[in-house]
Amino acid sequence: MTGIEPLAVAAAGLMGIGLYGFCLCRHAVRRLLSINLFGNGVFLALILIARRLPDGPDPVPHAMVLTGIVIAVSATAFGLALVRRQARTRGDDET
Amino acid sequence: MTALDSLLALLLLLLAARCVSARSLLQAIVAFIVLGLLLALSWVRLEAPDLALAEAAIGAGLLGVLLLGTWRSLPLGHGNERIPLPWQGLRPALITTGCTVLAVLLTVALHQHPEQAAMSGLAALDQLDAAGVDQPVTAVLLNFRAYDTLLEMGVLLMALIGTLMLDSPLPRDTELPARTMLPATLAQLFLPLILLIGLYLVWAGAYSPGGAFQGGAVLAGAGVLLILTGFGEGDGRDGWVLRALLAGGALVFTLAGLLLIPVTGAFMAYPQGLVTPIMVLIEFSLALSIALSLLLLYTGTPGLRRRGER
Amino acid sequence: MRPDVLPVMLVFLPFLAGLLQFIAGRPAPRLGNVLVGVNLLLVLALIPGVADEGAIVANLGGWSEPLAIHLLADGLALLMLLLTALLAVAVSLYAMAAWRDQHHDALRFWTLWPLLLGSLNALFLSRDLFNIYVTLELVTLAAIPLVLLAGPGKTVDAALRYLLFALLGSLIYLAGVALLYAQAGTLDLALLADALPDSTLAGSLGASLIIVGILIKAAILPFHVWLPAAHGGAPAAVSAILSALVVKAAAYLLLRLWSGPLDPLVTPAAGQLLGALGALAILFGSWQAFRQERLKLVVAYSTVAQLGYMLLFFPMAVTAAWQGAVYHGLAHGLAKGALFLAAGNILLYLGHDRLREMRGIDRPLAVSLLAFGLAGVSIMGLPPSGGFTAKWLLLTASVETGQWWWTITLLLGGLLAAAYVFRVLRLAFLQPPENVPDRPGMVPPPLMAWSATVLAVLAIVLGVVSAPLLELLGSPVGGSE
Repeated sequence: MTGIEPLAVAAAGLMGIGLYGFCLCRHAVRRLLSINLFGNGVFLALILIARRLPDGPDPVPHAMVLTGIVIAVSATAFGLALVRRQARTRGDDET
Repeated sequence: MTALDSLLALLLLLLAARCVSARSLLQAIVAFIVLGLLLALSWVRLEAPDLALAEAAIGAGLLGVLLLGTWRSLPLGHGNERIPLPWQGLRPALITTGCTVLAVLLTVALHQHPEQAAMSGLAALDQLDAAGVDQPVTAVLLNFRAYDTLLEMGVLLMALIGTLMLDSPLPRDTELPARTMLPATLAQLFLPLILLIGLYLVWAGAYSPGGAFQGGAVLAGAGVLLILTGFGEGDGRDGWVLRALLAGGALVFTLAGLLLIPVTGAFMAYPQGLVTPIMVLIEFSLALSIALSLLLLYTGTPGLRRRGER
Repeated sequence: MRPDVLPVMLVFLPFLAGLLQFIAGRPAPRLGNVLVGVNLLLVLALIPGVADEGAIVANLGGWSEPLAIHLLADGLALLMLLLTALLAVAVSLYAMAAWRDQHHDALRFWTLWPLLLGSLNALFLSRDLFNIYVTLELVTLAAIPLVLLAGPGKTVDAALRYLLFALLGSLIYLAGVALLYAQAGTLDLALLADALPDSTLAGSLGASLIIVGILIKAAILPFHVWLPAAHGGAPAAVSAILSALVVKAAAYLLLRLWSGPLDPLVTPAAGQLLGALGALAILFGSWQAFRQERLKLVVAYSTVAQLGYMLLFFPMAVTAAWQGAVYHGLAHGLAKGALFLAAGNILLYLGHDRLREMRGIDRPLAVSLLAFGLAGVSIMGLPPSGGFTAKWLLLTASVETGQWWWTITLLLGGLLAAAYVFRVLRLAFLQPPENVPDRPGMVPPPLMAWSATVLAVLAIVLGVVSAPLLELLGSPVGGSE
């Protein structure tokens, strides 16, 4: 081992903070943000893992990150549409 | 160089903490967007410029616009909350302990290196010559593990179908400063450039960092710009051409895979000599599907039209 | 025809149908029904090959071993595919009648349902850790819009909660995949067990994250909170798919991964812990099911309970427990499909599903109640049903391993299941009060009533045909026997 890698700490920290936010936040947008924080931590970890190959970064984790980003964003976009719809339904109920 | 890494890591953690703990939802969103950009910066340093591009364009850019748009559509003050601090009660204390333990364990685990280098990665670099493209990540996405990418297009399409079912487009407040911030001339000036960059990125994916995802995201960004500057807007109707383009990325993959079985004898294998043209075809249809899907996820409508058209 | 074309077709034909339906923009229920028929034939065609050779493997792309993605159809996958195919036929017939006059909803259903079917097939066939992540997301993102078909206004809360938990679960799973890839350098399930170094922290942590991620997706106690509202609120056909297949798919992954690639990493203590979670789920879910006031929530909480039985494999880990857990998955799938379809018919007739106002529906809804009763027999685990066979196998395992506490759990779970099933039936068969309330709903068409009944009959028949199916399943790959 060659000392501590600061970005590995950041990756682990992002996952920890994301999970913390998911458990404690109540509003759905905040929970979505927390989930994405966790996801960003996972992606950062994968990119760190990709650097372990002797010649050039490992393309397999890189491909996993690209796929993961697109999936996370599309699911989050769907989640945000659900939030907007929820707010509208509540607004209709109140008036 | 470690000093810069340390600084980046520290900033990332501070922003994440800010994102979770900010009382105002808007501040949390802004912290999240800045974090995404910093993350992209750190990925450039980690020899992943193409991923940095994707994160900046999709993870921070497009998602950021969507988050801000959703925030605007919520009633004022909605989503502002103060989460309890770790020492304010048993539950927060337990959760804090758990998450800290998890983070420490993860840190240790991420520092454990196995003796052998990853064999999948080695195999991918080894067989790059047969893949039809020079860029290893593109080769993995479109050839070695094309099946994953096909399924991912399915995810994107279904997220879009789900969003459209909700019928809750982003609010288009007609007299908002959003448009004055981006004067039409500015858009006219930059649009051709952005379109060019998007197309170039798709094309370049075969040889250098870039690819269908980044290119698609940039093209979607051009579309968002068009809408923000008042040239286009979401439409409640769609046509089969648009739907075909949306499904096209997944469809081309499926058909290329199915129809070539008799030729190559294997599924999702491309015949020698035709690899490169097939890859280019797939790449462009993917980019187009991605761009349109992301744009419609942004507007939340099934179709698009020019402003003022009926 | 080469046998390895079959698994590929099982994924791609449904996708093709879904995409074409999306482009066409006009509902084509006939296409959907042809598709599920073809899907069933393809699964049946797989049986001889798997029975002869043990497994059929398809290589996607023709690349070499550590790099390519493979599809694997072995006994376990085949049984799940068979369950999916049978349910698909019944649900499609039901849906054809249910959405006959609703153009918009029908279009959405017939677009999403083939895509979900293809995703489920893809998940059951996958032999690759990361590919499983993508299929999990596919299944989730096909399932949640289907929940919204019941009317976005009513179900948006449930859908949002479902999405949040599902997203978190799959990202936790992905974190585990990252750690395992870092250690093993491959994502192929067949290579992982050998490639993983012994007892590193990264390996154990990765395995734990994968398991926790799947537990969230499978709605195992204490992660069940999203399930009842989503499954109870969805339209009947969708509830049947979600309860019988979608959560089951996550439980299936647990069995698949535990007995294969994670085998070197798991410990007996972890097995006992999962078993305890399963037992808690059985008792808590059944008790909640007994206390509900609405029929669909009774059935939904019953799913929380029934999923617990599949976890009883992990502490015992012998062949009988393996067979029992898988068989329970099959029996519960068929029975739960029947229960939800029957509940949908009752809801259609009454206009609501409040238990207290259900009196006197036995005559107009005789066929649906027959389905409910027969499926209830299997849920309670009475002979000769599939549920009985499954519980019998689990009991045998608990005697074999000397872990008597699971015997008690099984017996208590059966009693509680009997309590909530009979509570519903008693209310349904009670004579109506003097002033019969006005019932605006229509008597469900025969297709809707009989598709539920066929599923229920299959759940009973499952108890009689267990020998060939169990032979097909075989024993766990890394199990102790």
